[in-house]
Amino acid sequence: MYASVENEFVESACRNLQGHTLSQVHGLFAQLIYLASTRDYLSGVYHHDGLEYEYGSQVAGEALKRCHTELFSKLVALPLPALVDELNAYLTSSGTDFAHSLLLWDKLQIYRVTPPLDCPRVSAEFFLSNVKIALAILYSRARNRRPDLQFELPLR
Amino acid sequence: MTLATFIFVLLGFLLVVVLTLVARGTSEEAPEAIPDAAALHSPFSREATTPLLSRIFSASDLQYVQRQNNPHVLRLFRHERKRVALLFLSDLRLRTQEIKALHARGALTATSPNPGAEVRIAFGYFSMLFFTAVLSLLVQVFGISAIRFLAVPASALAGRLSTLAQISQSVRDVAENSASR
Repeated sequence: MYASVENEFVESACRNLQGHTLSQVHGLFAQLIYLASTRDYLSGVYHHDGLEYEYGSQVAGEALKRCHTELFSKLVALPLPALVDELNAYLTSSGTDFAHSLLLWDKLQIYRVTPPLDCPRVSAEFFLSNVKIALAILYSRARNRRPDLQFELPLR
Repeated sequence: MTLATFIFVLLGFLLVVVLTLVARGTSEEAPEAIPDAAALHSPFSREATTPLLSRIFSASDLQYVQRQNNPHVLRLFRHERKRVALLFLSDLRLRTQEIKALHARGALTATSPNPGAEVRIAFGYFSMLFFTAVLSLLVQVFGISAIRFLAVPASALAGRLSTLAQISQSVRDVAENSASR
């Protein structure tokens, strides 16, 4: 009984998050980065001030975790061309130099912090592997458009 | 010993050596960056793994990468898909061993053993290890060309693991119930 009531609150918090916050973040990749960034690096607990104020920290944390997991599953299921488009849209959205962003993403491997904690290892590795391939594809396209690009993407 | 027997034994020995090397290679390649202690204990059902497997072994992704006309990207794609496929198979093997260890612990305290179920579990355990090793070998040797044809057998293996876990769980449940009485 208590669990089902709590589940209703979590679902309501999820809808709230999608309606108010995530709808303002354009693109699946940007949403994934946003949700992953609400997770504390040391404790793994999710925080969102507005949601916590409305639902309490436990329900808010659970809602963020659920949304993160659902979004991640959606991205894992994307065919490679769609993932490349999503990543391209994210990297070009900030207005910073595209080649620089590509290099930064490859060098720092920022995407490695995006999988949810409890997702299966194979799903996480498959996603990270796809991002690496997508970066290589975007780099090769950028190189074709601008042969003057001075750097080589040191993809491992 | 006839020549045919000698060749048969030699081939068997070579197969064991190759499978051992493959198993070692794949477990060494498995990255440790992703914490997955909880995920390791989660159910490994055929329904849950089939969509992921069809993505890992997808031929349309390969065609898309081939259209990019970049040998470096194609090489990276081949390497990455092979790595993930081997990771999946090593994960299956890991979970099989985990089920076996869990079952062995339960069997030590069981008061009413069920020989039929034990035989099925033992057979399931060894066949899982054998088939994951064979698939790993095929992926290692033939790379991405083999990967395209392995989605169905890999999915069947995931289903087999799920069945093995269910049998083991039911045996442990019976043992726990009889012990608590």
